[in-house]
Amino acid sequence: MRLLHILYCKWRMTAYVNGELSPAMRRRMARYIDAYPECYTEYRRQRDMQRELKDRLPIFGVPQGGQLQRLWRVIEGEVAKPTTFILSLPQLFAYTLALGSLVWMVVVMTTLYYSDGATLVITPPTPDNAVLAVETSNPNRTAQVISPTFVAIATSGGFEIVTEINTTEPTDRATYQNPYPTPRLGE
Amino acid sequence: MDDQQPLGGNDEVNSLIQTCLTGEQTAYTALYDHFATGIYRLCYSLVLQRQDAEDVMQETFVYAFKNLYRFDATRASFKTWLYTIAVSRCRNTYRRKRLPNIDFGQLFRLEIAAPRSERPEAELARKAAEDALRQALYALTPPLREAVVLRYGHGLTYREISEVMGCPPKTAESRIRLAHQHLKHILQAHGQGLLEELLSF
Repeated sequence: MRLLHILYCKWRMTAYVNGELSPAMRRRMARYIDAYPECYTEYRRQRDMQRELKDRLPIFGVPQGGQLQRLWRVIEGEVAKPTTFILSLPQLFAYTLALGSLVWMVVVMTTLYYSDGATLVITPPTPDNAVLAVETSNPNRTAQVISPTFVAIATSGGFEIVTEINTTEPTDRATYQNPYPTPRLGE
Repeated sequence: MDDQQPLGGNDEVNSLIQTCLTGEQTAYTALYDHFATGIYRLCYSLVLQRQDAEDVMQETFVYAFKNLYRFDATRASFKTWLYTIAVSRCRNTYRRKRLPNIDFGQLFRLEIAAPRSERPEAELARKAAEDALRQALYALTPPLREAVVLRYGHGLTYREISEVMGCPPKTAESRIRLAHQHLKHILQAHGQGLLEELLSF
């Protein structure tokens, strides 16, 4: 127990000599200092150190005559100058990002404003837009329905869009494949 | 306050700050007069070089005066705020001066002449004591030096020290305790004569 008391005493002695302990702790420390010579020795040592530092440090580095006035003239001049706007690195990054976003938005908005309205809109495929394969009676021609009312005729020269398909007389049609439940031609 | 120009206390300092914010030049001068000695001593005790201390002090006051509108009297006293700025600037100086530098003043013993009223032996004793203290402070690590200078050089409480240094009060307490231990070892390493020199002056 004695060793514990002495260790505690050494641990809190600096705070004790600096008057930074609560009244209860101060009373406890005082008891130990009275009871144990080791604590008393430590108390003397710390108190002497504290006194010397307290006496010496306040007069250490005291400015010499005229030094503060000379410094004040410099400080006064600096304070009177307008503040320069200096950005730190994170601030610079944030401002660049914000400016970049703004420029991007302006470009996009301008493009949309001056566009002719022929914008590409991507939509998921629906049964109505399904492509229907139609085989004609002519073996060299293949008709392909790309919408319920438009038909593309495939020839050796390429595709030919045929409008106003005759939906009542599908005489050309030999076979009809419809993987989707779309309105059947001619019905 | 431990500085040369007496002011009534926090209320008077706060009123001076309000006057400063209206653009009154004399209020700035009064604030400077009140805190300049303390700030210079703090800077000198931490950086241990006269030119560096002057630079840090200038930076501190210029920053504080230009950012006076940011000071919040409900959070801390102006003294604590100013000391926090000064300690932060001193830390920047430590970082810039990691490499050992030569104090030409000490190298060539270029010393300021003592006032005529001071006797040569008294001047010698004063210089010796100051050098001993400088060596002791120099041997401490920056956090321990800051703690011991704020406590004994400026009379700040552990709580105020913790605010200035940005650490818990318990850490401030342990730093002062460690500083005591280090100083004891340093002074013992320099021989008992150094301690006696400090004590006798």
